Formats: sequence, structure tokens, C-alpha cells
Amino acid sequence: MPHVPKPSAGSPRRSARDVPSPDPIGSGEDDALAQIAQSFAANPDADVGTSDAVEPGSGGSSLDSASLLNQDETSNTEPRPTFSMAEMTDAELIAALRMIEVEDQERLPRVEVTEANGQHAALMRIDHPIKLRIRGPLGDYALAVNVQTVAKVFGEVGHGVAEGMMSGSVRVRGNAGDGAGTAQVGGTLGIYGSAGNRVGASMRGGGIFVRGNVGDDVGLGAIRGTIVIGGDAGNNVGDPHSDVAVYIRGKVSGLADGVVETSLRKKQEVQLGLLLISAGIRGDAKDFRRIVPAAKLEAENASRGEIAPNWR
Amino acid sequence: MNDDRLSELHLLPPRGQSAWRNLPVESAAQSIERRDGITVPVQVPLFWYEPAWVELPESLASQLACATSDLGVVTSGLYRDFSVQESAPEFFLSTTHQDESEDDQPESYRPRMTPYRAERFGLVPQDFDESLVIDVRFAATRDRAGRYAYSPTQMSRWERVSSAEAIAGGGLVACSSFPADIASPKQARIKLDQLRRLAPKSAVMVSVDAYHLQESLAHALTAKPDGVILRADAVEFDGLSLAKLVRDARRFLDEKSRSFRPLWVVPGKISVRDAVKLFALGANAVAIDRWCEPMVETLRELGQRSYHSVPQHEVSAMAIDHLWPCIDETLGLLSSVAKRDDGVLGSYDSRWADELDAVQLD
Repeated sequence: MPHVPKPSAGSPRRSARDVPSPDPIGSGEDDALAQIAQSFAANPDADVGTSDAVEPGSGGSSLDSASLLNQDETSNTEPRPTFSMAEMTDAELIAALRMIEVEDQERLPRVEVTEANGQHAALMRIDHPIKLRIRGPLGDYALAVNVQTVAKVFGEVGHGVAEGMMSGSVRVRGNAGDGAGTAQVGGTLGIYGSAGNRVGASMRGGGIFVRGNVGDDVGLGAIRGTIVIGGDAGNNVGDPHSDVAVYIRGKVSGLADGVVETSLRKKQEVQLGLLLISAGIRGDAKDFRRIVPAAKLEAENASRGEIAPNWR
Repeated sequence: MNDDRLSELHLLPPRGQSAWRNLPVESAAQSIERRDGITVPVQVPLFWYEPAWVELPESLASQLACATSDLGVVTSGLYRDFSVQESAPEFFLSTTHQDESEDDQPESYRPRMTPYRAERFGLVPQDFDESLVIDVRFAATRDRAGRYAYSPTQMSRWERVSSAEAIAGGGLVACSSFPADIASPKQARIKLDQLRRLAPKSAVMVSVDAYHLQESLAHALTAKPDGVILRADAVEFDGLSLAKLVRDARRFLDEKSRSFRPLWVVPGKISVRDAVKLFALGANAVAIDRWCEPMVETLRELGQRSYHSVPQHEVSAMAIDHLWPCIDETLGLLSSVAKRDDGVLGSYDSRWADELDAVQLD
């Protein structure tokens, strides 16, 4: 059985004309936020203002997954190639996906993948610029080592979703297990439910957005990238030796030693606000705090906003 | 003067008074059976586990890796240890692609080992391609100064940052003790299956520390690896301890695993005869890092003189001069002890003989 957490309701979404997957996001916090926002803006997932972040202890938004799927079906009537995970092996499916011709990089082919049922290590390293919609839950290490592909999963995922992602994006309309986005190098991972422990552990770049709550050890051992958390976080959040930027709205059970909470700078506020709008999350960027290594904050303050690369 | 660590152990010849029989010369080639039935061939059971590639410019590192792997030594390294500007390093290229006359032949690649560290710094998708072994490290490794950390230089090499940038504030970056996306030892089985899919031709092995041997091996076996790499290179292990660790690990794997699981051993400083004795004690491959390190030192000095590129044939010649005699002697001795059941190891020291179930010599 896959290690999928308990399901929660999805949130409304709408398909739209998309642009190619985003490039890896650099280490500059402001730029990183802007690029995550751009990624969500290019692939909007929900109507602005119709949903809210998962409240602590709540089951998510009021819309159920059936209405979510209906919205998706009605929003785009173009025929799409459809593949069933029940009828093909993972290797066959990936080979078939790689055969799909991409005529216009500005308008990627859309593909439906049906009958996902908790398969482990599914759809990894497709390395082809297409847009996938996967119907059903996936197991551990789903869409790992993603390169170029823009994938949306309408279901839960297990541990290690999008592990080692290089570029493209992975969005999950459900909860995720532990280690979401582990060792992510680039691209964007969006989780519209909650996630387990060690979100963004050993992250090397890119952006992670979790609409709901997360477990312990967020950003453990991460060296670069951006993590945005709409809900609460567990213990040991942040890493004193990390250059990852963690933005959080809810409560934090405990920070890691050597990291501090601080308010957002004006530019970060604007960009986080744009990200929230693009991702369809109601709320104000002012509600978020930033979690950074104390040494990095000191270096930032000493240089009046300019981050010294060697702050340690 | 004999400075072998296992000098108390003797490689015994066949008993003279037994019935006449041939003494066939056994090949050292072997194979690893993956859980999904795919066979991974290993031509020479020697490997270079932890090369200090960061001490060499990328191009020289690739040349040396080519030279050692061309001698059959399974050589460990990441794509970014060798590549410049993301162009494919020679070490990762097919060895047949330049020879048009061999178009019909399946492409062959050098025996390469991919270190899959807990943090995966530097790892890119190309590392999975055509690798002989994926080495999933369930234990952190120390740097040369003994820290569980990676230097800024190492991180810059792996993460491709410009000289103006600094990673994580410019200091040392800590190692992790266990992969963050493995929720439990049992769930590690799924992780290893994932890696088998990402690297469909590779044996997926697990590295464990020799400390807490039974516990480490039990965790490793829970993950159902294709083989186990035992890191017994701590300087505190004397010869007898090393020999016992290998013997005990072999026994544990044989008792607890339903099918044969190869045991690769990282022993630290050893001689050729030590290596063969480790095979006789149950190792299936032995790391020869100490034999290879002088070549890094030689090339490092060249690199410091800005010789970022030395003709490949010169690097190969250096490897042949330095390494081949040791490899040849290892394979020769190994052929004389393989597949023998008449007591290969003996000792005049009763403690060694008792501890290792070796023949007591008098």
C-alpha cells in the first residue's frame, strides 16, 4: 500500500492556457518568490478569492474533489490524449508520453493519465515538455527527478513526491507524505493539502508551496530555494546553515536552533502577495513571517538589505 | 618487512596429500543479481569507493576515472565531479561510440559507481544512466578532517555556483545521517525499487557502517538491496577486527537473506594479500582507495601547475604502471583460492585461528 495520508478536500481549480515550465529558481529570495508566483500565474489553479488555506485542524476548503474534477473537465473541451495507468506499465506509459510531439513550446500538449491507484515511483524523469493531468492517488516518489514536465495530480501522493525535481512543476490536489521536494534542484512543487515531515529537506533550489500544514523539520539541510507554508508547521523548522527562505502564515511548534522569525521586507511582501493571488489563496502577505538563520539576518541588516553571500 | 594488516593469516595451498586433481584458474569476474532478475556483470571485483575528485580539475578527474575504470576498477563519482559546463564527461560516454565499425555492437560503458548520498548534493539525472552500481549510503561519511560535512569547495563543484556566490552562507555544509525521503527502514524498500527504475541496468546496493554491525545489516536487508557495502575503514579497526567484521557480515547475510547478497568491503589501508584474504573471508569485492590515492596526488600537483589537461594516454600509462601490478597480483591470488573448500586460510596464532575459524597451523 502506498503511504498516502488521509485525504482532504481539494480546492477549486481551472485550467488555462499555459506557458512552458519554469526554469530552476535561484537563491535570491526575492527572485525566487517572483518565479514561484510566475509559475502559479502561468498555471492558475483556482479562482482568486474562492478558497482559503487549510485552517489548522480543518479538512480544507468546502469544495469536494468531484466538483474539482467537473470544473476541470468543463473548462477545456479540447480532446486530449488519454492513457490509463491500469492498462500500461510505467515504462510503457513514459515511453508513450515521450512520443508526443511538441509543436509549440508556448502551448504544451495536454495529456490525461487516468486510473492512478497509488503506484509507487510512477512517472519519474519523463523529461518531456508536456502537461499531465493525473487522475487518482500516487504512491511514494511520484514524479521524482522531474524535468520539464508540468504535472498535476488529482489525488494524494506518498513520500518523496517530486524528489530531485530539476525543472517543470508538480502540483498535488491532495496531501503529501514525508520528504516532499527532497533534494529538489529547480522547478515548483505545489501541495494544495498538507504535507508530512521534512518538506524541502536537502533542497538545492526551486520553490515549494504547501497550502496546508506541514510536519517537523521543514527545510532540514536545505541549501537553497524557497518554501511557502500556508498553515502550521511542527518542530525544528529551518536550518541555521541553510540558505533556504521559509515563509509561514500559521503557528510554528518550534524553530531549529540558530534560526529566527522576522517580518517580510516590502519587496517580499509584494511578491508573496502576487504568489498568493496566483495560487488562489485568500489572505494577506502581511500575515506571513520569514524564518531565516540568525547569522543571515544579521548580515542582511548590516548591509541594509543586501545579503552578503558569505554570511557565515 | 611485512606490513600487511592480516599477516597472521596465511593463504594456504591445497593439501599435498589429497588425491590428484587439477587446480583450475578461476576467473574473478562475477555478477550481481538484481531483485527483479536483471544481472549486472562485474569484471574485476575491486572498486574505488571515495575518490577525492574535488582535489583535481574536472577534466583531470575524468581522465583518471577513465584510466582506473579501463583497468576494470569500479570507480565512484558523480557527473558533476567530472563535467565542465554540463558537457558530458568522457568517463560517462560510451566506450564504443567513436568506433563506427562497431555499430552493431551494444554500447558499453566504463564500470561506474554512483554515490547516492543522503543529501544528494551534486546528483543529476545523468548519474543514473549506465551506472554499474548505485551506492545508497545509509550512513554519513567523514571528510578528511573527520567532520561530517562538505567543504565550500566541494559544494561549489557539485552545485555549480559562481565564485561570487556562496552556498548556505559560505561555510561547511553538514552531512545527513539518513535520506530525508525514507520514512522508515521498511519503506526504504520502495526507495530502492525507485532507484532500480531510475537506473534499470544498475545494481542498487546499500552502504552501512561496520559499527553496530548486526543492527546496520538488519536495516540494510529490510530494504532488500542487491548487495551490501560494508564500510570498515575506521583506523581503529586492527587486522583481526577487520577480518572478523567481514566474516561476521558474510555469515549474517547468508543467514538472514533468502538469496545470495554480495558483500563489498571498504577496508581502509590494505595490501594485495590482505585484499585476497578478505575475499577468502567472504567479501565479494574490495575497495582499493589507498592504492589509488597516490595517483590523485600526482595529478593534483600537475593541476596546481595549471595542467588541467594531460594527454589521456599519459594518465592511462600512469594508472597501468601504478595500479596494474596490484590488480594483476590480486586477480592471480584470487584465482588460486576461489571455489576451494579445503581450508584456504590458516594461522599459527591460536587467537586468530579460533576467532576466524581458520586452520590452526603448527
